Amino acid sequence: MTDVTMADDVWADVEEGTEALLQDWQVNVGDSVAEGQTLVVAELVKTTHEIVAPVAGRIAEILVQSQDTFARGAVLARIEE
Amino acid sequence: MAEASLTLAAEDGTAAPASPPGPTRQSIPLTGMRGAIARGMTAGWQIPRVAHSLEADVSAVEAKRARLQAELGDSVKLTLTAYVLRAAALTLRAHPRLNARVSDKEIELMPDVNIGLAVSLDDGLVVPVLREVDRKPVEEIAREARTLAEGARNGTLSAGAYQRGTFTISNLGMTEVERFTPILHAPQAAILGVTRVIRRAVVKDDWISIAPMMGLHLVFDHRAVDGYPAAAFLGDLKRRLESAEDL
Repeated sequence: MTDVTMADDVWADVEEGTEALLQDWQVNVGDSVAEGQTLVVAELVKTTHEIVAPVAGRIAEILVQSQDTFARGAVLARIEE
Repeated sequence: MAEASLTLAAEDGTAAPASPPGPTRQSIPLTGMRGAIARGMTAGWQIPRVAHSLEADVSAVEAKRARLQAELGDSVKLTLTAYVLRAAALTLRAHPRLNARVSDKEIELMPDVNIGLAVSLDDGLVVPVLREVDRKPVEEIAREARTLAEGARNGTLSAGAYQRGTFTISNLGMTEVERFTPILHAPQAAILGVTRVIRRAVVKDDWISIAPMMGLHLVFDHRAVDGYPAAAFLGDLKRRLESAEDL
């Protein structure tokens, strides 16, 4: 299993306590994904960031739902290789 | 009526007459930047606020700007906005209640003067923040404001570039608008709207003369600041601009 997270450097100079907002997932649990495929877009303050699959595999679990907020380091989904 | 007969025709199974495609309903989802704007404006609108307006004679600032611009040449374009930023920053130092962040529990007076500058995009609005504006000369403020605005338009700024603001300036000086009340940028205690410079007939020493007048429109959180001290801040800002002292 590989965790899907938002790259940590995106959070580098962000105020403590700031949360990001997840837009709608472009994949569902069970879908096969390629490495580098965009899974979802997240908004952090006024910036948007594509979250891509770190490895190829199958989406095993989605832990942060569409339109939910999440904090630095949060695992958004898990990919089964 | 027209709609009803159209529906009937469709139910009859008769083909509707071919008509050129008219304008269709368009849906712009409140997601992404528009979603962020919607959330920010709604949060700002909840705040009990008051607006004060006045005009400042910017002859002295204009003269100072022309002199410095001639000295600096093309290396940087000095804008009136840069002067307003510096004047506001220096005035805020003497009025810490307006350089504050407000929550349900406290008014936090901020040690640095970090001013957000509203930048309009093709379809949206973002507010990147200039740091420690009170400690920078006007040419540096002009340069930074330009870099930030370009970064905001290109989408190259980091998330942190939009944070830690303690006050905001929204400049509509490039439009014909003469008065507006900006929405507070929560949790900041105040925001200043700036409108265009117009040459007006003004009375000076009992003579009518013509002066370039700029509109300044302050909106403040009345939980943090009362009407009189907010007026004192705006009056001091006006005097600072009119004297061009330390600008």
